[in-house]
Amino acid sequence: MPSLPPPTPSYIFRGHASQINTLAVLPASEDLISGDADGFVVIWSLSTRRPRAVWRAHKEGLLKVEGWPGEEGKGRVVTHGRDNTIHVWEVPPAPARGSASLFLPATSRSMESSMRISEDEGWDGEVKGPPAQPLSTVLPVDGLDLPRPQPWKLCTLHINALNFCQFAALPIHPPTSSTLDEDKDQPQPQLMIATPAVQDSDGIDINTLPTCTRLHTNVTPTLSSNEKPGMVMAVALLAPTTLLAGYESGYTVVMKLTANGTWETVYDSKVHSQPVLSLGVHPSREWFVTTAADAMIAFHPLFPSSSPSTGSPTSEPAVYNTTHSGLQALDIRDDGEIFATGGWDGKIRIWRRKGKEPKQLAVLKWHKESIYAVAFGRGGQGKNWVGVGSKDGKISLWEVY
Amino acid sequence: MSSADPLIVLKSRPDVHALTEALAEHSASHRPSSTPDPRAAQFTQALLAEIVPIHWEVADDKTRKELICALATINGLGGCLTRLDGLLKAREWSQCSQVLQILSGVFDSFPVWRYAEADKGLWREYIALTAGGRILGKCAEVLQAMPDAEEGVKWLGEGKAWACWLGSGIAEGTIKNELGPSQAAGLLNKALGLGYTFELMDVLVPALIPTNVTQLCDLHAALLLTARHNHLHALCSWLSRKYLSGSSPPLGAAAALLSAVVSRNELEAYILSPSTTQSLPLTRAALIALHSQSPLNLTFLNKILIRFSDVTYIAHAPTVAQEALTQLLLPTLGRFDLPLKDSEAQRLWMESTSNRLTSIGRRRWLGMVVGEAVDKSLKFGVDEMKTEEAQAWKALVDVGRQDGAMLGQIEALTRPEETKAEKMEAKKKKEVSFLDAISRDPEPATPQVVDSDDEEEDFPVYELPDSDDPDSDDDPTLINREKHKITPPVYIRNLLVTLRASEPKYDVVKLALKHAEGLVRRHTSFGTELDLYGIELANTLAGMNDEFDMPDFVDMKQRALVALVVGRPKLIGPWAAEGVCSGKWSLGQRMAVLAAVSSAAVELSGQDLGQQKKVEGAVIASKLLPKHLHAIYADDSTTEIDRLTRGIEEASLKPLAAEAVDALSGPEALKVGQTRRFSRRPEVQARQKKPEVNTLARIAGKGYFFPLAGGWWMMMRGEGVREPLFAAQVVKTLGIVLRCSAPSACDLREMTSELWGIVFGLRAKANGDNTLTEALLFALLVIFEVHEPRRLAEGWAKEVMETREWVGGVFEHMIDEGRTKMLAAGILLKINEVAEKFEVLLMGGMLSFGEGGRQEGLGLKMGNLAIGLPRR
Repeated sequence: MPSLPPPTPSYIFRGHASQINTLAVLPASEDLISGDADGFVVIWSLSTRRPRAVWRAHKEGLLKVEGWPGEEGKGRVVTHGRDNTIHVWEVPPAPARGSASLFLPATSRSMESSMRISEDEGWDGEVKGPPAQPLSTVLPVDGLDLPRPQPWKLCTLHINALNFCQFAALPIHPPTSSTLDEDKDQPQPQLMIATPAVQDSDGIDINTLPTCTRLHTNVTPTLSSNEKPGMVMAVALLAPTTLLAGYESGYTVVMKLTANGTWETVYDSKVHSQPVLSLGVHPSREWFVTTAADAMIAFHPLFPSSSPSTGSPTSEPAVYNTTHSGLQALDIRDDGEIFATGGWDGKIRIWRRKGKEPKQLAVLKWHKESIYAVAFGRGGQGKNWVGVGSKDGKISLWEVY
Repeated sequence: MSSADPLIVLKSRPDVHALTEALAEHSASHRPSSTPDPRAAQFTQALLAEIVPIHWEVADDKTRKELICALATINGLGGCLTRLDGLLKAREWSQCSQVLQILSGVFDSFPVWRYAEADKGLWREYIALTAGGRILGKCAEVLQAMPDAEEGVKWLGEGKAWACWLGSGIAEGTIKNELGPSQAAGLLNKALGLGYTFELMDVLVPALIPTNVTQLCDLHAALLLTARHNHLHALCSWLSRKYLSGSSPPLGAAAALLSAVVSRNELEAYILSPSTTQSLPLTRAALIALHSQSPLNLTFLNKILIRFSDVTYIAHAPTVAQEALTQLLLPTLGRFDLPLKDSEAQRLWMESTSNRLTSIGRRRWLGMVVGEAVDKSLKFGVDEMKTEEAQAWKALVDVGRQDGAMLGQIEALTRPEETKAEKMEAKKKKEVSFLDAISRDPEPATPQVVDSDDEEEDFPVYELPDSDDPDSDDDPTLINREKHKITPPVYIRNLLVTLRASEPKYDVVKLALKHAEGLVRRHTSFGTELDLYGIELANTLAGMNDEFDMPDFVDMKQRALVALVVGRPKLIGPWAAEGVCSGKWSLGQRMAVLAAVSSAAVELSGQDLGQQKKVEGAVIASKLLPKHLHAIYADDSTTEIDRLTRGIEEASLKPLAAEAVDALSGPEALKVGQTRRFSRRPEVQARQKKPEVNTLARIAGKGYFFPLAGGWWMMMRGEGVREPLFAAQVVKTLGIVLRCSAPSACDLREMTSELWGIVFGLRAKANGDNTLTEALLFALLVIFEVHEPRRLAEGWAKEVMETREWVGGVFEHMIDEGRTKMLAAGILLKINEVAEKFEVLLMGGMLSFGEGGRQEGLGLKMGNLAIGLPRR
């Protein structure tokens, strides 16, 4: 079988002064957004390969950034920091070609009435109104303490970021969200956010943005073995009533909201011997993947036909040993054909799951330190890419598949 | 003028008329194929060198023709070639062009057979020039180098043009009977070697068929055996390329041609030759040709079957050849009754089928095809056998049967235009000719492969990067990800930083230590880092503790120290002396540094590397001690330092002591349990006589000895020495340095006096302390070793006598101390030697000190040392 030579990165984005904790693709644009351990967020233009915007979103390290498509033309970014906050920023879409930086909107929707502006006192540089000056493009390596304006902040949610667990988001469109959303007169899109509970790191809170309303408090699973699941390490919201979670003890759990408002555990499995690190749902919604600090990739069936107690064979997870433990980063491409894992061994592995076992398609080796973030992106003309963020503070771009 | 010698005319710068006359004169007397004579050669030479450059460009056609005519001899051609060579080297392009024009003119105007009547040697020369490619080669070279060649002469450098020229020449000459078969064969033979056989055949064969086929046959028969094979191959290739690649090849005609030109045996041998890989139509034509002469027999079939069933052939022959063989076998089988009746053929067929079934891929498939084709009742029932391709292959048997033995008319081959057109047509229509149907590529046959191909296109697999090892440990909590990042230090500074790290890591320190020695040695003759950081590094190394309980810690540290002392003796020597004697360090550190100094001294003294390893090993690492020694010393040595000092002592002292005891060999009582000392003696001697450059000699005194000795005196004068063990070490180290720097050290004398002084100063302290006594004895032994007896007697008479007295006492009081006793005996022996030879000198020296009382018994007791000396 003829095979291609080992892939090499097509570009390296340098500019973060500390490790890259998270990486995402902004929807509907060719932009990559990265967050580092110093709290900086950088939006990189993939066409110019230059930073479009740099600001310090959090006082502590970033846990997750994610794009949230707003109303037409309004790009929003949700950032999750270790300073126990989640911010939603409004960033304008990519400017016309040639302009290097983002200019903030001169007029802004009046959001103050419906959102709770952060009362965070020590937080300098809180922008109370739409600033006129452009966002900085000075990279974190060129100076951490330089004055950099922040984009327009829509809202702030206070959460518990003790666990290193990244939030899970589920966009809710107004008609469908009406049953859950208290604010029925708000026609805006909502975002359901699942994070570790404020009361207890073992539980999960579910809030909505931008209203910052808590929907569910301290959701905890009931495991079939009656063990304690430990801290929440990874969550995913499949639907307003379906929650997936991975735990410190290695448990992976599916919980459903019952009619009487309680959460029922419909699936639990302990395939990992180490804390679960990442969780990804296949676009077909037939299965989801978990990776952990051990070397296993586990494929869990979704919506098993029978309840877990009967132990139907279809509800058994399929486990694959990669022999490379510490699979921190995970991303499944939107078409579901391939997925990538990035590990503490500094390598990114591209997999394709056909049948039970995944087939390793490629090993991307460039970073010498652990990989903390990986994101698939789609370019034009079949030029798809994988972005990889590492402990070494660099982001590598690979044009594969 | 008319009767003048043409050569003289040529050399006298003739005008055109004179030239024409001279040329006419010359050609009248010389035939083109006449044997060369010196005058003709000179004429050619003159013509090319003097006439052509001047006259060619301006000459009219007539004169040019005359010139060409004059040069159109075999000699002339040879001359042209030589001239061309010279002009090429001189890069005279215009003249090159002239010669090329002449050559082109010669070959255009005169046919091949013009020279046929020349004698054999000349004819051969002509063949070599033309068909052999000599002119072609040279012209090609010139044309390659020439910036702008005329179109008219370019053909001279093209093999294809030459092949055509030769082909038509041979054909024409043969038809006109100008060339005999042997002459034509000679040309053809060489012409085939030019490499353009298709072009050659394409001109030659059509010219001779259909009417002159017999001449082609004669020509073929006249060829040498190997050339015949080449010719047949060329003919077959030409046939199959030109006529047999269309949709309805004129097989009969080709068969007719083959059978007309080539004998049956030859054709059979050719078609059966393993190197033959002809196309299917040609194979069929050849089979028709063979069958038409006499029906194919079983021997022929069996020959094919034998190869077809040969395991080695199946495994190793290229697939193309195997397919060709199958294409030969199947039509051949068609001419026999199937299934095979003959038992031998039957057996071979069975064998081939079973052999091929055990192989793989296409080879196996071919075996199944033949199997099913021969026996219709045999069905393998696999999918591969049901494909169209397999059917087409199996049908080859019927094809062979239909082909039969029908020879066609050779005339069918004389319509090349038509066949060409047909071929084009066939190509255009993409009509599936038989060969097309039999695709060589088995891949697309199976649908699964196609499917996975699709998959691969979308998601190709990349190769793994150079290193992608699985984790070191199955347990995720135990994997150490740091280790692959640690690199050994490459600068002394790095090493220092690593070793001094406030929170040292085991792996890092270990790696740094492991590479410390190499690093220091590399920097010995490179850069200034060692000068800058040498002392610091030495301090660090000496002060290092084995925090991690590292195996080989002491060894590695010690090696680094030794490398340091060796690398910068002048820097580290005084540092070591100061450190050792200042009381800043612990005993262990002092011991280690002293050991390092000793080892370095040994190394610097330039011992042979192999020996040095041995000695150094013994000095540094107790683990490297010879086994029997280790067994002895490992028991009573408690600490590493202790063992180290024992090692030093052993390495330096043993040879001396052994020699001493050997010399005394008489009394058994003096031998100390060492059974191998006799055998060791030659080795010991060999080790002592080393002619290498003694680097230590130059620096021993200033670098090591005096700083240490000086420090020692300061120490003695100050606080005194509390530890006899340490004192013993210092004395031993000094002894080793002295010993290693001898005999060429410039300050050997001073060092000796100094050492003697130190030894005598410690006599009292040594009383009752075996270790120190031993060290002192060792030092004394070194002194006696490094100096000639005469020099000792002259320079240190008093010391010698004093030594004798003390050592004698020690020896006498010794109860059961093997080693010490041995040492003492050795020294006494040496003294004995000195005393015997230089008694007077000794006495003189003693008398000058004016102490009479002690010497009276000296002379009397001199021969009686073993018993002892008078006590005071």
